[in-house]
Amino acid sequence: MERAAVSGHDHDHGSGGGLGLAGPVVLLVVLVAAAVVGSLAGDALDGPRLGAFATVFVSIVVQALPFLVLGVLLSAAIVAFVPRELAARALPRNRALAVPVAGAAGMALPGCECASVPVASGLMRKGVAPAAALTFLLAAPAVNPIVLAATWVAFPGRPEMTLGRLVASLGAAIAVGWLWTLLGRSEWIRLPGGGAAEAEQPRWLVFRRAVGHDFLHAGGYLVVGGLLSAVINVALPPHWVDSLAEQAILGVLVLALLAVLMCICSEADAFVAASFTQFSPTAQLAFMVVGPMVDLKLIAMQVGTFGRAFAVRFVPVVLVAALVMSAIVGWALL
Amino acid sequence: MSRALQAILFLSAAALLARLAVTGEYLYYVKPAMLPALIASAAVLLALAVFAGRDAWAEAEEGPDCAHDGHGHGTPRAALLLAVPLLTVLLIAPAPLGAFSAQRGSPPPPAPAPAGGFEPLPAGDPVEVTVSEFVRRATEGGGPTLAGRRVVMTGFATPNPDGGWWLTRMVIACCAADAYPARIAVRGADAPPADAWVALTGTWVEGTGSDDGLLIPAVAADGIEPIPQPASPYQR
Repeated sequence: MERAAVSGHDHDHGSGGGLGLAGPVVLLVVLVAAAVVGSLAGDALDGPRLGAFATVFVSIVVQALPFLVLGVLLSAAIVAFVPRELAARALPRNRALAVPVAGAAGMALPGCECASVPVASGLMRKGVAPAAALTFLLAAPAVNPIVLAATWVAFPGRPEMTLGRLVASLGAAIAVGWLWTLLGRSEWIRLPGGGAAEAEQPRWLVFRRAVGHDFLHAGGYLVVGGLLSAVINVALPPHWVDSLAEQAILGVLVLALLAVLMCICSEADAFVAASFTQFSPTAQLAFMVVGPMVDLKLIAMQVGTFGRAFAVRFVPVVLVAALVMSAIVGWALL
Repeated sequence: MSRALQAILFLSAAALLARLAVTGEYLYYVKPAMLPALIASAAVLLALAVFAGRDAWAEAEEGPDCAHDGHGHGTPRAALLLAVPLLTVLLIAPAPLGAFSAQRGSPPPPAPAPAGGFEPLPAGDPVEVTVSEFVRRATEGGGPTLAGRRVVMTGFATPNPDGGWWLTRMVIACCAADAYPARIAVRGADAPPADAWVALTGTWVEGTGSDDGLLIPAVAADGIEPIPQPASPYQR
């Protein structure tokens, strides 16, 4: 409860007493009732728009859950089993140098953005400088080999798109990392768990508590992002973006906005970017650079993992950095 | 948030993945290759539920402030939303994306024709092709490999808002959130109900596909029969 009070963000309720028991019982009753109603009525709720909404929503969650689980397992393993000294030594002592190294290290985490949020949190808890951990958070989903390979396939005969994505994503991630080194304050970031308390506990206990804790923090917000994105998927009139494609700057902003709203996995976003043929290559690049760094589900997960005070500062800066780097790389390369 | 509540949230996430994996409904949402990852994740989440349930039991016996506690209090209420995906598949019958999405989406340009042109279609009359393969051969290659060949394709019916209907199949790269439609305009056959699955035999209408700017080729139907929805409704 103290942590809830300190962060001013967690509205905890009843960790003991009557409410603590009522909550689970109510939730269990709701789930069982839904199962009964669902199996009796076949499809209790119907309609093509609602059906498409449900399918898109569930697909975002189902696609993301394995990556989130992988991410929280890695994060918890870092927290529980990696010695503090090793985590500190893995990166250059020099902070300005640690940022690009962390960005390049992002190439080693094969996954999409859902995995990188808890891993960055784990790195910070282990004493890695926030600037370096945040650079890793931004770079990993965009520059890992799986994502670059998907981009290569999605833009056949256009290797400059893959190169542009690599350069612009790394550039934006490093720029944000350096900016954080200069201006960032650690009190903006709310991290769970005290290092000292954890050190006294058995490692296995620390590990599984961290897995559960990180999953609950990010998972609920993942659902928020999935719901918003699914609403947009079925509610926006089709082809609304087409008329904006002709305009150079507006086109870039429109696709960047779409990337934020659509919440597509970084492993798949290149195929969607390729489908925006009416738009300039720079706009397509912006879609692929912004998406893995800023989207509704990521924002929600960052609020859940690092706190609101962090997200309101971090998200706009990242968005601007991603747009500027896309514009520069697009102008120079595409 | 109490440990017991946490246990149920882990359990509902595990149950969601387990149900979709067991019923095969996961194919409505993600690619077939995801199955092992879904099963592994369900197992991890189930283990978390068991541990949280055990802790809840211990707390109930020893009181909430037993020595090894220290985490878990301060879980955001948003975590309750983890039950929503399971509620969704329980209340809204899982179904693949259908005509509603096929009408709205716009497909990307098909992958360019392979260097040296397409391989000829395999022997057979009619020869089985996928909707997306048919579209690609008609729009990118100019269609010489389709000319004069009877083909049979499976897909669902989507009404064309401008009249007539399309034989459609949704194509996904990763999950259903990135799905786009492959569409073929059907000539010479009455429209089945929207979302009805059919096997359609017919011949490419020469010249259609690359000429109209919409990249929707046409097929002249000479046979159509209803089929059950395939287990794997999306194509690559």
